[in-house]
Amino acid sequence: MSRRSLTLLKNLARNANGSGFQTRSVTYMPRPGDGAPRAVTLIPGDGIGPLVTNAVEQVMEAMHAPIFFEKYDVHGEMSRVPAEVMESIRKNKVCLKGGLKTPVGGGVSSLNVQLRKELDLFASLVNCFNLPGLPTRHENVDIVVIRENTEGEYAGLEHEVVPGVVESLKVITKFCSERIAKYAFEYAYLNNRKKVTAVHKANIMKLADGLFLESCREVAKKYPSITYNEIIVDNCCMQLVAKPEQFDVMVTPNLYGNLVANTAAGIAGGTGVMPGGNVGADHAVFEQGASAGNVGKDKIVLENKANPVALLLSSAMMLRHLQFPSFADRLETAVKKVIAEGKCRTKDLGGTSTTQEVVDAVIAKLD
Amino acid sequence: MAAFLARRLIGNRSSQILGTSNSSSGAFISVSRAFFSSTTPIKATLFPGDGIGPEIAESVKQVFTAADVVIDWDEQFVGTEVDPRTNSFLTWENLQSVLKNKVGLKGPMATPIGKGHRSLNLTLRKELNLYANVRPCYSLPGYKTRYDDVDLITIRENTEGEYSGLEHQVVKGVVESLKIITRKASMRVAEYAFLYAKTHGRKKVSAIHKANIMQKTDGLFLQCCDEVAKKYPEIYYEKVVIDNCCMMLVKNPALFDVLVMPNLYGDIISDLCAGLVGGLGLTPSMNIGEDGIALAEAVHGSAPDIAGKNLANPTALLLSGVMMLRHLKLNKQAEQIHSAIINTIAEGKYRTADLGGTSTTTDFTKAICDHL
Repeated sequence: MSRRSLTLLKNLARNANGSGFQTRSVTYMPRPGDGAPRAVTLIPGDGIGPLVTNAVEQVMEAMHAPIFFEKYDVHGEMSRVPAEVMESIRKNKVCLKGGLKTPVGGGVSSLNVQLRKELDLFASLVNCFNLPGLPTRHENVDIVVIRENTEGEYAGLEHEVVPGVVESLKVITKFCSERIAKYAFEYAYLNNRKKVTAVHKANIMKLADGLFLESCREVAKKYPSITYNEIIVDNCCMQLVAKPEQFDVMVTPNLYGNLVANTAAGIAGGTGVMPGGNVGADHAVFEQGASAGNVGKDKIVLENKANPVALLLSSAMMLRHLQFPSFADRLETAVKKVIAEGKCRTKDLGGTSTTQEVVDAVIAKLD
Repeated sequence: MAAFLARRLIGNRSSQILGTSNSSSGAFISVSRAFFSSTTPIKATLFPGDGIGPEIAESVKQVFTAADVVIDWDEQFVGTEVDPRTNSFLTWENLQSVLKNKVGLKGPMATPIGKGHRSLNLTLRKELNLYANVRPCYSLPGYKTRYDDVDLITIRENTEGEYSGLEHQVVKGVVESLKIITRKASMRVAEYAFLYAKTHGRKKVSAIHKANIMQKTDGLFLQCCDEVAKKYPEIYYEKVVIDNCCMMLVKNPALFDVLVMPNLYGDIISDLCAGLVGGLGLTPSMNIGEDGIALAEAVHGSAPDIAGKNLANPTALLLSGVMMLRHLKLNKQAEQIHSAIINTIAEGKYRTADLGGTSTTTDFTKAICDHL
């Protein structure tokens, strides 16, 4: 019996060896030549953008990851995304982006939205989960919000009927609702998720959200092993702050998705740590998950206290998307270890470190 | 907790103590009513509603009587068939009662399923022109949730915006829904929000919007709020984008004081705030209409599964009743009842099932009356 307990103890020791994070997994078999460096378009953007994209560049350098960045300067005040940038993204198919500042109130339509529409990035994905070691009010949060990214309330079709009366059109089409529903269920299927919840307000907007729900229901029939349910958006927000563990994958039209994603990100730790991205049939743009105040306050920029964790985790998602799973795992593990340790945290997580200190800590933890 | 209650008491009465003038506003009841002595009964409409409605309405009546609030309740019941004059189950008499009394309390109403008639809430809103929905959300001391320091008011524009109900199918598979924002409605609700902030001693008003994307519609709403803000220089005014607002609310609700929003955002945010403090079973609400009409209501459902079993929690309707009393300027009794409710819940001995206790409705009510 002592022999058995010895092996048991050895197993325990191996598993508890600062890991539980890292085990050597059975790797996929690459095709010859897959290791050649891939080009990725990089848009630093405004505000905290340059700080956090720089963080990603440093970490990629340290890992010797097989990607190289083609950097382009785009700012929120520009009226359109420059043609050369669009060319580059179309060629590389993958882009990493900091935030682009959107002026409030008038004139220019958001560049973020433009980018999504032109490249037809119809799905926006945010993964909100509790990071081990980061205390929050809510536990057991692991929600993926998949949001329709091209139509809905963000169609940008507004006009003044008469002075003092303004109309805005919310457009919902079967085509877009179907493809986002298909993407959500496909994501759930490929990532072993058990439940998809559709968020809507069809009791009031019977035709518009009704059409969205119809599409979701049709797609749900094709995935009988995945549970499907529906929830009204105001109830959804209430449930998110009370019992977030009941949600798994959520699929929503455009505006509700924005709110739900930000609420979910808030309860799980804040915008500074949630990864996400936008994906279409041909292209993918990775950026910080939840976009509340996406360019951050000026003070944070000046003091270099922006949190690079979100973009680092998004770049790990990007590495997996590019089929470099081992690099993605290493990056994610290093970031999670740094957070779990708790010594190096930026202001939004309750610490005092600068961006550079966090980056150095992550690089130090890379194995 | 004593300090918390004291702050609440003094905060709400500061307007009275400092003698702010509000007789000029149309949103509050006419001056003549203020001269009624407390012994002259005030007539108020009461819709007991369905499901648990009648029980909790009974609770309210008991507590009000125990607190010496002299209200002559004009009980109104929703009809069992569609009234052709209103095209809904709410009868003409129901509506006339509220229009005459100018103040009312409404329990939960189940909307009958079916077509060919308007929903009850929609009928009330349109006929009585209820343009603002006011929901104070504050942490109840003694009922612990994940958030302890919530103390905010959400004021939501209730008539237009995304809920105009104007949708149509353009071609098969393409649907358009109109969101309407008018200067008139936005000014109305902004005026009410700032007036409310001033009379209740609130320091900050935040306008919630998504004007970076919906530039003309939310832009117009913001413009109206800007204009009204200039008239109240002593109140701090800020504009917050809605996704930022959601994030801030779940991370640190103490950052907000009064929130004013268009219809859809208001719906979502007010329910989110209700979730922060413990759910719809504890949230009071009041709808303000033109000509000083105020209809307080409980926003939770009619809970048909516990109807008639003496298990319902009357807190939401009671707190709404308190809001109604404050609107009627019966501040002393409002405070009394309010403290009684807070103390009963804080004590923890008498709590209904939804708060984790085992008391019945009648026990809970009696405990409140005892605390008066």
